[in-house]
Amino acid sequence: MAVRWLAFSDLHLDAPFAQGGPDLADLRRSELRRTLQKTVELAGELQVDALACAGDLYEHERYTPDTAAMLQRLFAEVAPVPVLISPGNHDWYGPSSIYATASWSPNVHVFNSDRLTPWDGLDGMRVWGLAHRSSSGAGDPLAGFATQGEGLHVGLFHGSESSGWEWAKREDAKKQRHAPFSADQIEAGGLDHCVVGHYHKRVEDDRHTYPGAPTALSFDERGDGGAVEIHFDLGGNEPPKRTWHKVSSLDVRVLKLDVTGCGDMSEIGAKMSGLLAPLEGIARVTLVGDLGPAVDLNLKALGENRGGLDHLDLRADVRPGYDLDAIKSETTVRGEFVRAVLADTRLSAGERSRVITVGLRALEGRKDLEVV
Amino acid sequence: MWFRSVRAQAFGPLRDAELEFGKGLNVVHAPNESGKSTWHAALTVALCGQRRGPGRKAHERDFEEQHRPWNSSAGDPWRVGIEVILDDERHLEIDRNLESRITEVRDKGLGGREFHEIPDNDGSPDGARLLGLDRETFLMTASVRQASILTDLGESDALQILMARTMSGGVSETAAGALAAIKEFQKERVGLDRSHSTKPLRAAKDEVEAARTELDEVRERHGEYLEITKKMEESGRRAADLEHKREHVVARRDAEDAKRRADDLLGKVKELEELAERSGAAGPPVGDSSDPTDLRQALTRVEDLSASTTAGRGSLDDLYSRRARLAEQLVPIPDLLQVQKCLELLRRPTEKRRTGIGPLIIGVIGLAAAAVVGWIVNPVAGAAVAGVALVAAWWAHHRSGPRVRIGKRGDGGSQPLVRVGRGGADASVRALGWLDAWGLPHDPNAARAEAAKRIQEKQVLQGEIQKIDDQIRRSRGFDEAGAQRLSNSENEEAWAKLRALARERGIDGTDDEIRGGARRLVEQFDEARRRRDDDLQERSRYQGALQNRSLDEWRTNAEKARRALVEAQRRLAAFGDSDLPLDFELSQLERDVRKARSDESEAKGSRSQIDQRGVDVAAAEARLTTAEEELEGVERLQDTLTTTLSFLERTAEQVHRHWAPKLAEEMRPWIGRVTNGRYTEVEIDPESLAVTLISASGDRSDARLASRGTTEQVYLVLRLVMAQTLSDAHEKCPMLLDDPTVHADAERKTRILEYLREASRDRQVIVFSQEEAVAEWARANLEAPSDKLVQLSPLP
Repeated sequence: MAVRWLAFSDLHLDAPFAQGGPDLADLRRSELRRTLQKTVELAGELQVDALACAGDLYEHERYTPDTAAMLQRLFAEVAPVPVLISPGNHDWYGPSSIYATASWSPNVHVFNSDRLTPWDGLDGMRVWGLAHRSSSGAGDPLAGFATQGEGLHVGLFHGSESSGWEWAKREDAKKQRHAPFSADQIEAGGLDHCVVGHYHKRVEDDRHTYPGAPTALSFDERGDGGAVEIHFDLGGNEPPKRTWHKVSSLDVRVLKLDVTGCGDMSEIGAKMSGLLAPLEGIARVTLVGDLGPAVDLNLKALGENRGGLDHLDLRADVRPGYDLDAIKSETTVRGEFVRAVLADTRLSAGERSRVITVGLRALEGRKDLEVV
Repeated sequence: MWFRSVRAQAFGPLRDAELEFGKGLNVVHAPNESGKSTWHAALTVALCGQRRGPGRKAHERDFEEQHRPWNSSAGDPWRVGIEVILDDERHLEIDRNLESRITEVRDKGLGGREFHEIPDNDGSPDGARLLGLDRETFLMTASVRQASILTDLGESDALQILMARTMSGGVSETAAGALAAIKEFQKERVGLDRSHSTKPLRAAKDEVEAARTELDEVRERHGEYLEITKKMEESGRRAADLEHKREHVVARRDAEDAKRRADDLLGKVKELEELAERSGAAGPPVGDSSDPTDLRQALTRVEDLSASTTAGRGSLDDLYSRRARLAEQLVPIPDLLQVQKCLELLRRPTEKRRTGIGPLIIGVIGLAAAAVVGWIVNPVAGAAVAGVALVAAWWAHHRSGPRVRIGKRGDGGSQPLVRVGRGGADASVRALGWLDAWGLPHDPNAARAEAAKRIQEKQVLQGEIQKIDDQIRRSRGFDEAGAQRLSNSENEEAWAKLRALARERGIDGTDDEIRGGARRLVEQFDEARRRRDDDLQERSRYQGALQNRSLDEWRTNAEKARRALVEAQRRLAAFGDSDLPLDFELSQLERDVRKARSDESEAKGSRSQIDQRGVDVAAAEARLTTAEEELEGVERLQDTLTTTLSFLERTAEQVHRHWAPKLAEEMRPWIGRVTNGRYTEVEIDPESLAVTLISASGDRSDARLASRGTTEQVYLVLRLVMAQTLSDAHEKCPMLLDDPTVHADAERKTRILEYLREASRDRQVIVFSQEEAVAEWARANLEAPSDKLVQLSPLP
């Protein structure tokens, strides 16, 4: 006997995607909706016993009426398959939340207590879920918790497992730790397994699963999450079997392009075209290497040629194409200038690079003084 | 360092040519078109090399156009080489393939081993680095071309520019020029942060402000949207809660009603079943055909005659008095049929019914009795009885109420016998009026029971009255008829009739037996009639109770009511235990539900009016972020430019302050010689780099205002001094001069050459000249082996 779920989390519908401009934001938000559509369709194709969301389905501070209507429609389409939702810190449950105000179809069950409460709609399984009731301040979801009743006990909630917190913080410095718990508490509380949201990277542990964000929400995320098909053995003899499915059609890539040796913009453009030619989706490309002193690096102009990409985020981390060791040995203004700039510890590496480039270009009589 | 030789494998017009030099002053005399400037360029490029990076600058393109091998068909590579001797006597050979831009440097003293100590400059070893210069500053100082002299001295600030550019590093722009360019760029690409500025900084700040304002507005609208959504949800929840309570209250009332109805109907069915049982037990009614009226009359006649003769005479006054008392006890009461019809009118209030025939019946019965009395006894007695009957009927009619009257017969039978009032009042009102008039309760069952009871009482009373009437009749007969009527003939006649009638009914025997048998027969009949009347009463009550329905229908209705009760109790039980107060006001609840639903609808309406884009916080955030990034970029540029200006101004001032007095000091020994003692001192302003010439008498002259000849001399000295100064602590810098004296008169030419020979004692000087005078001076003054005159022939 087994029960199969399709679980996902951290979709963040209506996320701002402010970095990259309104066009990219619109593109990304539309893609999130397509991702949810695909997730729901996948639940139907796989004929799972339940579709589960471990929170942060949408962003409370930004959701629009259209989002509420779409969620009602999509979850009704998957009926009679149960849709189980444990609201997270971004889609917290409150009187003005979509969860409280939408006219859900009968197959949708939203956990709305801030303590783990059971749901018994699946034979042989008792699902324990909870809701974040505000955007912050959620405590340990498993503190003092003990299951009751028969069957396989599965938790569904939004929280921060302690062993994963460090890398989650590294991935997103702004991330807050909500509903902290440790993996040891899962078994101690009598739960056989927990499906948890909040970390955007997938985690496949014996006792818990983070589906991960179905699509990278920033270029800093690796985007290895998705909708995870979980095969629960009701006998409880085996850990759940998990299979991740890609439900986002938007590739998010982070690439570097070494422009050392490129003498001018057209040469860099040609090199970049070769890099981008096979790509689709969105990409961040960082130009690295030693930039020829003659090159007037214009990222805006370069970025207009984005090949098959929907969006290109072009950046530069190049070293100015000057032989600074030689120049700083000069007794000239140029040498003194370079020495002074390099010696000033108040400046960051980027500031030094920009100031030196502007100064040397100005001394060369060049007009391209806007450096990246 | 000094050049030992230069070799041009293929360079401009030169092919497989070589020049050798001495360590001191070298004069390369070459007539026009003999490649003088080409050799000068070959020496420079062989020492300094070319930038190897991609892309070409304008001066690099010019150089390539001028010095690529002219005869490309020869197939020789574009290639030059030099041999130089360093101050430590190391002998280097530098070979440059200008086509492939490959440079080989070998130490000939070490058997041609590769020499790697020449620093690279833009991808190519730059020999000027050994001199403390680079290929740019070498060209600015040590390599003096006639063309550059002409160009440089065309500027009024030639000396300042030369120094500034040289001090800046031999680049295209002076520090001051670079600063000005940065400021101009800053003005256009950043601009001032003033309110009406259209420049990027102000525009970016305005956009940030606008985007922030928009975001605030959108957030506020989104907050309102959430608030409305919350209100909608709360109203909906409250309405649902109230509706739940309302349903609970309704369910509870339904259950109570269902119980009441079920109890009523079950009670009704039980009553009907009892009535049905009683009416069924009464047996078939006795028919009127067996009524022994004639026998009764004959028996009464016999007994009357017998009584008149044997019984004592009572007082008529007593009898009348008793009869009057009994008559007063006769209550006005209709028969059961009237009561039933009245009750049906109550059930069907719009239907008109015929009713109220009680008084009529009394009247009719009374008149009939009077007729009988009058016929049997005498007309006077019959009239008396008729009068009493009419009085009783009038009294009964009168007791039924002033609005009840007996209708007229003979009006076609379409009019009811009993009407209420004259205006045809509502049937139910009329029925109630009748009941009130009869003194009956309004409840149908109670009314029927009361009516039946009264009818029974009335019948008893009527029986008593009848007996008194008989006694009166007998008493009066005794008094009036006397003994005459007590004749045997009458007695016999009465007995004969009785016997005959008795025999007809099978009664025979002695007179006593006949009279006893007749009496039993009459009593049996009266008993049967009484039972018939009881039966009729029961049946009437039963029929009335059925109310035009069958017992099965009542049972069916009762069963339906029972099932409805079960269902109502089940619905009520679904609400579970509740503390819902029993006196919960349903109407108030309905009002509260309507109010909550109205609030919810209003909130829904308000929410539907909100524009999707108007609450798109994410889009507004994206706009603000874009604006902030743009502003951040402009501010970063501002910071970069400001910082660059700061560093450049500071370092330029430092360099100038360092070099200005030093250059002036280096120039001072030479300035007297090249000006033939006209000026003995020179000063350089550290800020402006303006050169001031000072005569022996102390007169100060701005070098920009000096004669062209003086300017050329000072310019030449300045370049040599700068080359010497900038290369201080490095290899001594050789000087390459292309026609430096071409515009000088003979005297100045000599002084310049003398100056150069003096300078060559410290460093190699190579002078390219087309002037014969210079060649002659060289022949006369140069001292081998350090000095050398090289004579070139015109190129083929």
